[in-house]
Order: sequence, then C-alpha cells, then structure tokens
Amino acid sequence: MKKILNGLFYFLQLMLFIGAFALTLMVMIQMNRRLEKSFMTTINVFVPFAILLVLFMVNMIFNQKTVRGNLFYNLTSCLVFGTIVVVALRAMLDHRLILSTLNSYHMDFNFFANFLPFLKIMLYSLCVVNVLLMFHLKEDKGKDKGESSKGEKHTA
Amino acid sequence: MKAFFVEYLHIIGTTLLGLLFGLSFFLLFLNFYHYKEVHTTYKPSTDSGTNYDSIMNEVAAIKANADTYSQATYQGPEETFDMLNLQTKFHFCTDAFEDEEFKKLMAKEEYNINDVYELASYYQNEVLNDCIVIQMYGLANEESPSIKSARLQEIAPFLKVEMDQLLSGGLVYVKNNMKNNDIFYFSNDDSKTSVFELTKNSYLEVVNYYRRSLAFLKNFSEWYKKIAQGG
Repeated sequence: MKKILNGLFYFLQLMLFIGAFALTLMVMIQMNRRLEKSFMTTINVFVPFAILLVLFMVNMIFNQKTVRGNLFYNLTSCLVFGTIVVVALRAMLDHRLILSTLNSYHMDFNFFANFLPFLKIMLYSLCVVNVLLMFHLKEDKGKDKGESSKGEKHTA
Repeated sequence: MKAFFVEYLHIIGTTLLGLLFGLSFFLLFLNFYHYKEVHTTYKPSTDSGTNYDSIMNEVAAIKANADTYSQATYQGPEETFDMLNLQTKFHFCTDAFEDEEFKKLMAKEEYNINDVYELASYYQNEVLNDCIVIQMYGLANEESPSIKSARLQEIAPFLKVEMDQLLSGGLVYVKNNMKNNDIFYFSNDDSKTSVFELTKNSYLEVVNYYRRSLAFLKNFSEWYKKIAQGG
C-alpha cells in the first residue's frame, strides 16, 4: 500500500513540477512583456526550479530510496507544486480579481507577484530537504550493511 | 560522532519538511477559501423598493423640474439662451441615468465585486466627469461663469461648495480598495475586511455617491423650476 501511494505521489510530483514550471514561465513571460523588461531580470525565480530538477535527476540516477521512497517528502512536494499551479491558474483564469479585468492581458500579475516570495521559500526549502535526506541515505546504507554483517556473524 | 550529525541532519530535514507541509497546505486551502469568497455576491435589500427605482424617481423629478421652462410662455427676466442652456445641461445629466448601460448595472439583483467596480467607474466617468465637471462646474466659476446670470451668481458659491464636496469624495479610495481583492494571505489591514464585506460596503458607498449627486442636481433643478415659473 505504501509503495503504491509512494509511486502515485512520485509520479504526480513530477507531473505537477512540469505544470508548475510551465505556468510560472507563462505568467513571468507575460508580466515581463507588459513591463517591457528583459526576461533575464526574472531568472532568479527559475533558479530553484533548476536546482530541483538537478536534484530530481540525481535522485533518479543514483536511485536514492530515502528521498524517492519518502512518502512525506513526495506528498509535500505534491502540495507545493499543486499550490503553485493553483495560484498561477487563478492569476490567469479568475476574472473576479479586479486587476485581471483592468488591463487587456486578462491576467492578475499582482496576484502572482504577491505569491513569488512564498514560491521561492517553498522551492528552496524542498531543495534543502532533498539534500538533507540524501545524507541520510549514505548512512543508512552503511548502517544496513553493518547490521546485516553483524547478523551474519551472529547466525554463523 | 558522524552518526550523531547525520541523525541531527535528518531531524532538521524532517522538521523543515513539516514546516513546508504546513505552509503549502495553508496557502493552498487559503486560496480555495479566497476563491470562494471572491465569488460570493451581495444581494441589496429590496424591502423599500430597489435602488434603481428610487434613483429613477429622483431622475424623473429632475427632468420634470427642467421641463418646467417653456420658451413660449416664459416671461421672467432671464435670457432665453441662458435658460435653454441650463435646461440642456440638466437633460445631459439625466441622460446618463437613463442609459441602458446604467440600467444594466443598477438594476441587478445580485452584485459581485466586479459589478460594483463597474458601477463606480460608470459614476466616475458619466456622472462625475461628464455631468458635474463638464456641464455644471463652469456655472460656479466666479471669474468667468459659463452663464452670466445675476441670480445664478447669487447661488454660485453654494453650488461650488457642493460640487467640490462631490469631487473630493473618496470614490478613488473606494475603487482602489476594491482592487485589493486579490490579496489573500496573512491578515493585514487591507485583507482583514473580507471580500464579501468589501463588496457590500463598496456597493453601499457607491450608491450613496449616486444619491448625493442626484440630491445636488435635484436641489439645483428646484431653483431652476422657481426661476422658470417666474419666481
């Protein structure tokens, strides 16, 4: 049961990560076009996405089970990316927000801009947690090996 | 020693994950709550008639006062051109209230925040700018009034005071406050008032602005009626 749930949340997490990145990119491009600013000025928003992508790839390549198999981590990641998706969709589609009806872009940039600090806090925290859980992985492996060798000795 | 540090790193990681879970959970569900709140509507009380009906009664009274003047029967001392000019100004102002767009905005049974914003914008553009500023404000100009009537000049300072009050009212503040409906997180002075309260209060405030402008126009039209009747 735990394995199924883990697999489900892991898959969902990857899908939501792609969705969150795509929607954030879309809003930021529109926002910069409106302000006639270079896209490079908002690159700091995408840095945590890039770090997370690298970490996800490391997790996948080295098959780090303490991160990939951590149900709480996967669930929290789903919540974080889900929140980003919901906020981005509301900024684009919720026309009851007055600022979205005031310009011809039909997007409430203020609503999304207010959320940017939280977006960064959440994504950087996910990166930090991912790294911390990686350390645990190495120790666990050593511990497991030690325990199993001890067990072998005992049974022998 | 190494195991001790790794254990502590694990504890810090799990604690951080817990905090992150709380924050994202809070933001996600606060968003759902805010979405629901933004989509609630305010239904004005119709116990003593709708606001649209009472406003149109006032408009009808202003029109009737303005129509008292007839070029054929008037025998007073005022210039015909001045009286016709004033009559046209009153009609221009009442036209703003008889517009289909105004009816669409004011005769609604339920209002969401966007409707109230549109109602405020209509008031600002059609009533305040086009009627009060463009049509009426020139009448109270002390140095070069748009109509040089001695009797009008007697009441001009009073007209000016009333129009200045209408123009300096906090409509811009009400409109800007409505724009705050996209603030959804952590309580502050702007978001403490819920969106529903914001819709309700803004609606009542905007309707009050309409009434104040109509009261001014009605008082002025009463004066015009007396002049037109030769008083």
